[in-house]
Amino acid sequence: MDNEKQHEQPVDRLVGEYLERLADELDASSLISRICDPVQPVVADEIVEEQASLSTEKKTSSWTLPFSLNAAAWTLSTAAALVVAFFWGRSFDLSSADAATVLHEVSLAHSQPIDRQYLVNFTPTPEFWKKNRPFTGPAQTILWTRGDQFWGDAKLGSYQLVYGRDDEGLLWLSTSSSKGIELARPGDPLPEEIAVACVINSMSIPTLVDEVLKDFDLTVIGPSNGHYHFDAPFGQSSFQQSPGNSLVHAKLKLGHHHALIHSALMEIDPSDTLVCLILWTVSDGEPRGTTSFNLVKTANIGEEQYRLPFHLDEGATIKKHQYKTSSQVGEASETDREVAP
Amino acid sequence: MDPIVPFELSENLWIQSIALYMKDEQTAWVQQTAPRALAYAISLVRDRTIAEDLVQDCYQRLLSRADRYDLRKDGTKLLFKSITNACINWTQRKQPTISFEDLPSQEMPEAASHEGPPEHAIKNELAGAVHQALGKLPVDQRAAMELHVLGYAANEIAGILETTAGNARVLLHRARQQLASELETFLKEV
Repeated sequence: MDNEKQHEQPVDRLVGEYLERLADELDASSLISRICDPVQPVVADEIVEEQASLSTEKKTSSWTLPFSLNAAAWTLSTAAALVVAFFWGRSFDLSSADAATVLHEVSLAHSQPIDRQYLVNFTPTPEFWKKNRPFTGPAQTILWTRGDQFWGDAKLGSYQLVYGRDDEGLLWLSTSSSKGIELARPGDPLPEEIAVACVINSMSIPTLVDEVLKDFDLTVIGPSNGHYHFDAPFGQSSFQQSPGNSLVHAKLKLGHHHALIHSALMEIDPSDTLVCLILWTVSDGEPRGTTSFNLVKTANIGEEQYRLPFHLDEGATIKKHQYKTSSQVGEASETDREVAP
Repeated sequence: MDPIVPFELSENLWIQSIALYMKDEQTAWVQQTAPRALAYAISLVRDRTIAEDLVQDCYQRLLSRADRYDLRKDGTKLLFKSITNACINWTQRKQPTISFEDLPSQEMPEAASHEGPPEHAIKNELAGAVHQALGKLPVDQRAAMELHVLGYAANEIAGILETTAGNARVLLHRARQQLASELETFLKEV
């Protein structure tokens, strides 16, 4: 819009005031209800209001779930899910002994109650990024980890989402400071895959080492100075290795393919801290983008920030996510696909 | 285990949260834009019921394709383009069955209650005159004029009306000329 040119002539002003007055005094509430209300439920059957502890607000309208949310979800879950996929299903063997040793030490180091902040960036390839779809674009997450706890502040374009797991094991999400979702409380059945995703988000890389990538060759590059060059499919193909740090490079074995990951690189410092993780990801065999985790700092921020209430305003609504059992998971997926246009 | 399984489950988990967020975002966007969009449509088709139906349809079509657009960035322009097309199509298909003379009292809202009677009367008279004058314009000129005062530049109006920038300026110029003539009395007081 060109605000400078508004009402530049007297007649423009008359028409402008007329339209403004008409808009101000029209009651558009019935129209808004007609637009917003009659759409298919997407969330209502999965999220039940549990403790509107402090708020009486209860919106019942639902929207058709745009397909782009899949991209959004993909981006948000890239950090966890891809690493899960990365490690899942690989048999540990002696040829990977060095890598296993390194990763085991990393796991021990990350189980300590130390707060670590990572900057997580998703950089899409130009081909993957549809500019008019913000959720396929770059995403940035500030991820804090502390043992098994973590919380992340994710931004996708102009959208923002906070999520985490607290010291009591409560997994939560918040879409705004007025609304939170308890995804799973301690003792609630949690799909194993989600539990593993949480472990990855906490950067503890624990028991997964037992089932490392079966389709990837892991190569440990010992402490060195200088650049490490490698065969990356897209984007960055040279890595500035800090003095004294080790690298573990995961590369698909010849003749193998992976649905999501082309290759990965981990940088580990002498204190066995994972200081950098880079994932090169694919979609339908085509480059999707690069996700990188970079250690920003270690600190002592305390446990409060890992809890949902810390991120909510007073009076915020907290809802509880009802997980479906494993036998219902397929049904849930069908429901999600059905409502996507 | 197929490595894509955990991805899908994780995705499902985030999707539900984002859907809540999107629902609020879209509701807020509709609430913010609907009054102006409806006023614009009423002015184009001169009938509130028809305008509401057309505007509702435009919103729903746009929202059903929200994955293709950045509503925050482009939504309002796309909405007004859609409403413009819908209203022009409707106007061109339909022969007028109502008198413009009847419309001001029917469609113009009452003035705000805090205004005193003289100002109320003047504004009502002026608004009615503007409403009638706009009604006498061809619908494309009316659209060009109203889009202009809503803040759209000539090239944007051209895009919405699917014409050239030059033609958009011509439409705007003609609309101004006729409105100036129709509203001459009021313009002298401005």
